[in-house]
Amino acid sequence: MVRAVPARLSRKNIPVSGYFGGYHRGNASERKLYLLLLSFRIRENVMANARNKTPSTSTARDSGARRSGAPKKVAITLRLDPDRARRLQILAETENRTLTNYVETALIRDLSLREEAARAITILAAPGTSSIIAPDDVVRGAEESDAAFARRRDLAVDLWSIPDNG
Amino acid sequence: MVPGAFVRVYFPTHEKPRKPGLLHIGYILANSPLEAMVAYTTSQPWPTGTPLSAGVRLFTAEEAKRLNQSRPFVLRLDVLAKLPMNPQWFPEIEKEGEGVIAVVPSRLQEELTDLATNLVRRRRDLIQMRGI
Repeated sequence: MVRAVPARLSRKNIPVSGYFGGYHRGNASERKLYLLLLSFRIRENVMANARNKTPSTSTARDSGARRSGAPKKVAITLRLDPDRARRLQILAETENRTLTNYVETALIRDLSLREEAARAITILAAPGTSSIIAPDDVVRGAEESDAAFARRRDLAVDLWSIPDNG
Repeated sequence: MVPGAFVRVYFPTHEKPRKPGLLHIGYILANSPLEAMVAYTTSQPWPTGTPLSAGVRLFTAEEAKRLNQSRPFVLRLDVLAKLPMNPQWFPEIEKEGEGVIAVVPSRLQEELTDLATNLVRRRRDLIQMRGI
Protein backbone atom coordinates (compact mmCIF):
# COMPACT_ATOMS: atom_id res chain seq x y z
CA MET A 1 0.00 0.00 0.00
CA VAL A 2 1.36 3.41 -0.95
CA ARG A 3 0.51 6.15 1.52
CA ALA A 4 -0.08 9.72 0.54
CA VAL A 5 2.72 12.00 1.67
CA PRO A 6 1.32 14.86 3.78
CA ALA A 7 1.73 18.31 2.26
CA ARG A 8 3.99 19.33 5.16
CA LEU A 9 5.82 16.74 7.14
CA SER A 10 6.04 17.41 10.82
CA ARG A 11 6.95 15.43 13.87
CA LYS A 12 3.28 15.02 14.75
CA ASN A 13 2.02 13.70 11.44
CA ILE A 14 4.94 11.39 10.72
CA PRO A 15 3.83 7.75 10.87
CA VAL A 16 6.40 5.49 12.53
CA SER A 17 5.75 2.65 10.10
CA GLY A 18 5.40 4.76 6.99
CA TYR A 19 8.84 4.63 5.46
CA PHE A 20 8.36 1.57 3.30
CA GLY A 21 4.78 2.58 2.58
CA GLY A 22 5.69 5.39 0.21
CA TYR A 23 7.92 7.96 1.89
CA HIS A 24 11.03 6.39 0.39
CA ARG A 25 9.74 7.48 -3.00
CA GLY A 26 10.58 11.09 -2.27
CA ASN A 27 13.89 12.71 -3.16
CA ALA A 28 17.00 12.42 -0.99
CA SER A 29 16.26 15.49 1.11
CA GLU A 30 12.67 14.36 1.75
CA ARG A 31 13.92 10.94 2.87
CA LYS A 32 16.45 12.61 5.16
CA LEU A 33 13.78 14.85 6.65
CA TYR A 34 11.53 11.85 7.16
CA LEU A 35 14.26 9.95 9.01
CA LEU A 36 15.08 12.99 11.12
CA LEU A 37 11.47 13.53 12.17
CA LEU A 38 11.12 9.83 12.84
CA SER A 39 14.19 9.90 15.09
CA PHE A 40 12.66 12.83 17.01
CA ARG A 41 9.44 10.94 17.50
CA ILE A 42 11.18 7.77 18.65
CA ARG A 43 13.45 9.75 20.97
CA GLU A 44 10.47 11.58 22.38
CA ASN A 45 8.77 8.27 23.16
CA VAL A 46 11.94 6.90 24.75
CA MET A 47 12.28 10.03 26.88
CA ALA A 48 8.64 9.88 27.91
CA ASN A 49 9.09 6.26 28.96
CA ALA A 50 12.28 7.10 30.82
CA ARG A 51 10.51 9.79 32.84
CA ASN A 52 7.96 7.25 34.00
CA LYS A 53 10.59 4.74 35.10
CA THR A 54 11.49 4.16 38.73
CA PRO A 55 15.11 4.84 39.78
CA SER A 56 15.89 1.10 39.79
CA THR A 57 15.41 0.93 36.03
CA SER A 58 17.94 3.63 35.22
CA THR A 59 20.38 2.99 32.38
CA ALA A 60 23.98 1.88 32.63
CA ARG A 61 25.03 5.35 31.50
CA ASP A 62 23.10 6.93 34.38
CA SER A 63 24.69 4.68 36.97
CA GLY A 64 28.11 5.26 35.36
CA ALA A 65 27.60 9.01 35.65
CA ARG A 66 26.68 8.63 39.33
CA ARG A 67 29.72 6.43 39.96
CA SER A 68 32.02 9.05 38.45
CA GLY A 69 30.40 11.74 40.56
CA ALA A 70 29.02 13.68 37.57
CA PRO A 71 25.54 15.08 38.12
CA LYS A 72 22.76 13.26 36.29
CA LYS A 73 21.71 14.98 33.09
CA VAL A 74 18.23 16.39 32.75
CA ALA A 75 16.24 15.52 29.65
CA ILE A 76 14.44 18.38 27.94
CA THR A 77 12.09 18.47 25.00
CA LEU A 78 13.15 20.73 22.16
CA ARG A 79 10.72 21.82 19.46
CA LEU A 80 12.27 23.03 16.21
CA ASP A 81 10.79 23.72 12.83
CA PRO A 82 11.76 21.04 10.30
CA ASP A 83 14.00 23.29 8.23
CA ARG A 84 16.12 24.31 11.23
CA ALA A 85 16.21 20.73 12.45
CA ARG A 86 17.42 19.57 9.04
CA ARG A 87 20.15 22.20 8.93
CA LEU A 88 21.28 21.29 12.44
CA GLN A 89 21.36 17.62 11.50
CA ILE A 90 23.63 18.38 8.56
CA LEU A 91 25.93 20.46 10.75
CA ALA A 92 26.05 17.69 13.33
CA GLU A 93 26.96 15.15 10.67
CA THR A 94 29.82 17.30 9.40
CA GLU A 95 31.27 17.26 12.92
CA ASN A 96 30.56 13.53 13.26
CA ARG A 97 28.23 14.13 16.21
CA THR A 98 24.71 13.12 17.05
CA LEU A 99 22.14 15.88 16.78
CA THR A 100 21.63 15.81 20.54
CA ASN A 101 25.34 16.14 21.21
CA TYR A 102 25.64 18.94 18.65
CA VAL A 103 22.80 20.92 20.24
CA GLU A 104 24.23 20.35 23.72
CA THR A 105 27.71 21.49 22.61
CA ALA A 106 26.27 24.60 20.95
CA LEU A 107 24.42 25.50 24.15
CA ILE A 108 27.54 24.92 26.27
CA ARG A 109 29.53 27.17 23.90
CA ASP A 110 26.89 29.87 24.25
CA LEU A 111 26.91 29.62 28.04
CA SER A 112 30.68 29.82 28.18
CA LEU A 113 30.69 32.88 25.90
CA ARG A 114 28.20 34.57 28.19
CA GLU A 115 30.22 33.70 31.28
CA GLU A 116 33.35 34.98 29.60
CA ALA A 117 31.62 38.21 28.61
CA ALA A 118 30.60 38.71 32.24
CA ARG A 119 34.25 38.81 33.28
CA ALA A 120 36.36 41.83 32.54
CA ILE A 121 39.74 40.15 32.14
CA THR A 122 41.11 36.67 32.61
CA ILE A 123 44.82 36.56 33.39
CA LEU A 124 46.48 33.18 33.07
CA ALA A 125 49.62 33.23 35.18
CA ALA A 126 52.50 30.84 34.51
CA PRO A 127 54.29 29.22 37.46
CA GLY A 128 57.17 31.26 38.80
CA THR A 129 55.91 34.63 37.63
CA SER A 130 55.97 37.43 40.17
CA SER A 131 53.02 39.22 41.69
CA ILE A 132 54.64 42.62 41.44
CA ILE A 133 56.56 44.61 38.86
CA ALA A 134 58.72 47.60 39.77
CA PRO A 135 57.82 50.61 37.63
CA ASP A 136 61.47 50.97 36.68
CA ASP A 137 61.47 47.42 35.29
CA VAL A 138 58.72 48.10 32.73
CA VAL A 139 60.38 48.12 29.31
CA ARG A 140 59.73 51.22 27.23
CA GLY A 141 58.95 51.16 23.50
CA ALA A 142 61.42 52.81 21.15
CA GLU A 143 59.00 55.45 19.87
CA GLU A 144 56.80 55.75 22.95
CA SER A 145 56.12 59.24 24.28
CA ASP A 146 56.58 60.03 27.98
CA ALA A 147 52.82 60.28 28.54
CA ALA A 148 52.03 57.06 26.67
CA PHE A 149 54.75 55.17 28.51
CA ALA A 150 53.53 56.49 31.88
CA ARG A 151 50.00 55.23 31.13
CA ARG A 152 51.23 51.84 30.03
CA ARG A 153 53.61 51.55 33.01
CA ASP A 154 50.73 52.27 35.41
CA LEU A 155 48.65 49.64 33.62
CA ALA A 156 51.48 47.09 33.95
CA VAL A 157 51.91 47.76 37.67
CA ASP A 158 48.15 47.43 38.09
CA LEU A 159 47.89 44.17 36.14
CA TRP A 160 50.86 42.54 37.87
CA SER A 161 49.41 43.29 41.31
CA ILE A 162 46.09 41.47 40.77
CA PRO A 163 45.97 38.51 43.18
CA ASP A 164 45.31 34.92 42.14
CA ASN A 165 41.71 33.91 42.66
CA GLY A 166 41.54 30.90 40.38
CA MET B 1 61.42 41.64 23.28
CA VAL B 2 59.74 45.01 22.85
CA PRO B 3 56.31 46.14 24.06
CA GLY B 4 53.75 46.46 21.29
CA ALA B 5 55.11 43.43 19.44
CA PHE B 6 53.13 40.53 18.03
CA VAL B 7 55.12 37.40 18.86
CA ARG B 8 54.83 33.64 18.62
CA VAL B 9 53.93 32.25 22.01
CA TYR B 10 52.61 29.03 23.53
CA PHE B 11 49.56 30.71 25.03
CA PRO B 12 48.15 28.76 28.01
CA THR B 13 44.54 27.63 28.10
CA HIS B 14 41.82 28.27 30.68
CA GLU B 15 41.87 24.57 31.53
CA LYS B 16 45.64 24.36 32.05
CA PRO B 17 46.82 27.87 32.87
CA ARG B 18 50.14 26.64 34.26
CA LYS B 19 51.24 24.82 31.09
CA PRO B 20 52.25 26.11 27.65
CA GLY B 21 49.34 25.72 25.24
CA LEU B 22 49.18 25.77 21.45
CA LEU B 23 51.34 28.09 19.39
CA HIS B 24 49.54 31.40 18.92
CA ILE B 25 50.43 34.94 18.05
CA GLY B 26 50.30 37.10 21.17
CA TYR B 27 50.54 40.82 21.72
CA ILE B 28 53.08 42.13 24.26
CA LEU B 29 51.05 44.59 26.32
CA ALA B 30 53.84 45.19 28.82
CA ASN B 31 57.01 43.49 29.91
CA SER B 32 59.97 43.55 32.22
CA PRO B 33 63.31 42.01 31.22
CA LEU B 34 62.11 38.71 32.76
CA GLU B 35 58.33 38.51 32.25
CA ALA B 36 55.67 39.64 29.80
CA MET B 37 51.95 40.33 29.95
CA VAL B 38 50.68 38.90 26.65
CA ALA B 39 47.24 39.36 25.11
CA TYR B 40 45.62 36.52 23.17
CA THR B 41 44.87 36.69 19.47
CA THR B 42 42.93 34.33 17.26
CA SER B 43 42.05 34.21 13.59
CA GLN B 44 38.69 32.62 14.47
CA PRO B 45 36.13 35.27 13.55
CA TRP B 46 34.02 36.72 16.34
CA PRO B 47 30.72 34.80 16.38
CA THR B 48 27.99 36.48 14.37
CA GLY B 49 25.28 37.97 16.53
CA THR B 50 27.38 37.88 19.70
CA PRO B 51 27.99 41.31 21.24
CA LEU B 52 31.63 42.33 21.16
CA SER B 53 33.15 41.92 24.63
CA ALA B 54 34.89 44.89 26.20
CA GLY B 55 38.58 44.54 25.46
CA VAL B 56 38.14 42.95 22.06
CA ARG B 57 39.72 44.63 19.04
CA LEU B 58 39.01 43.31 15.55
CA PHE B 59 41.72 43.66 12.90
CA THR B 60 40.61 43.70 9.27
CA ALA B 61 42.50 41.87 6.54
CA GLU B 62 44.15 45.13 5.54
CA GLU B 63 45.26 45.94 9.10
CA ALA B 64 46.46 42.36 9.54
CA LYS B 65 48.51 42.60 6.36
CA ARG B 66 50.22 45.73 7.64
CA LEU B 67 51.16 43.70 10.74
CA ASN B 68 52.62 40.84 8.64
CA GLN B 69 49.65 38.58 9.30
CA SER B 70 47.88 36.82 6.48
CA ARG B 71 44.35 36.74 7.90
CA PRO B 72 42.00 39.06 9.79
CA PHE B 73 42.24 38.40 13.51
CA VAL B 74 40.76 39.22 16.89
CA LEU B 75 42.91 40.67 19.69
CA ARG B 76 41.59 39.80 23.15
CA LEU B 77 42.83 42.31 25.71
CA ASP B 78 40.44 40.58 28.12
CA VAL B 79 42.40 37.32 27.90
CA LEU B 80 45.95 37.86 29.14
CA ALA B 81 48.81 35.65 30.19
CA LYS B 82 51.67 36.57 32.52
CA LEU B 83 54.60 34.56 31.24
CA PRO B 84 58.33 34.19 31.90
CA MET B 85 60.43 35.21 28.92
CA ASN B 86 62.00 31.87 28.11
CA PRO B 87 61.87 29.34 25.25
CA GLN B 88 59.33 27.19 27.12
CA TRP B 89 56.72 29.88 26.42
CA PHE B 90 58.31 31.87 23.59
CA PRO B 91 59.80 29.22 21.29
CA GLU B 92 61.78 31.64 19.14
CA ILE B 93 62.99 34.00 21.84
CA GLU B 94 66.59 32.89 21.49
CA LYS B 95 66.53 33.03 17.70
CA GLU B 96 67.22 36.06 15.59
CA GLY B 97 64.16 38.30 15.64
CA GLU B 98 62.91 36.65 18.86
CA GLY B 99 59.78 35.41 17.12
CA VAL B 100 58.53 38.96 16.63
CA ILE B 101 56.12 39.16 13.70
CA ALA B 102 55.49 42.89 13.78
CA VAL B 103 55.57 45.85 16.15
CA VAL B 104 52.53 48.09 16.15
CA PRO B 105 52.88 51.78 15.38
CA SER B 106 52.90 54.02 18.47
CA ARG B 107 49.38 55.36 17.80
CA LEU B 108 47.90 51.86 17.73
CA GLN B 109 49.90 50.91 20.81
CA GLU B 110 48.36 53.85 22.66
CA GLU B 111 44.87 52.83 21.51
CA LEU B 112 45.39 49.32 22.83
CA THR B 113 46.84 50.60 26.12
CA ASP B 114 43.82 52.86 26.58
CA LEU B 115 41.44 49.99 25.82
CA ALA B 116 43.09 47.76 28.42
CA THR B 117 43.36 50.58 30.98
CA ASN B 118 39.65 51.40 30.72
CA LEU B 119 38.80 47.73 31.09
CA VAL B 120 40.89 47.35 34.25
CA ARG B 121 39.61 50.56 35.82
CA ARG B 122 35.93 50.13 35.11
CA ARG B 123 35.53 46.47 35.90
CA ARG B 124 38.39 45.63 38.25
CA ASP B 125 36.13 43.51 40.45
CA LEU B 126 35.51 41.18 37.51
CA ILE B 127 39.15 40.39 36.78
CA GLN B 128 40.03 36.76 37.21
CA MET B 129 43.63 35.63 37.78
CA ARG B 130 44.28 31.92 37.35
CA GLY B 131 47.26 29.65 37.61
CA ILE B 132 49.87 30.88 40.10
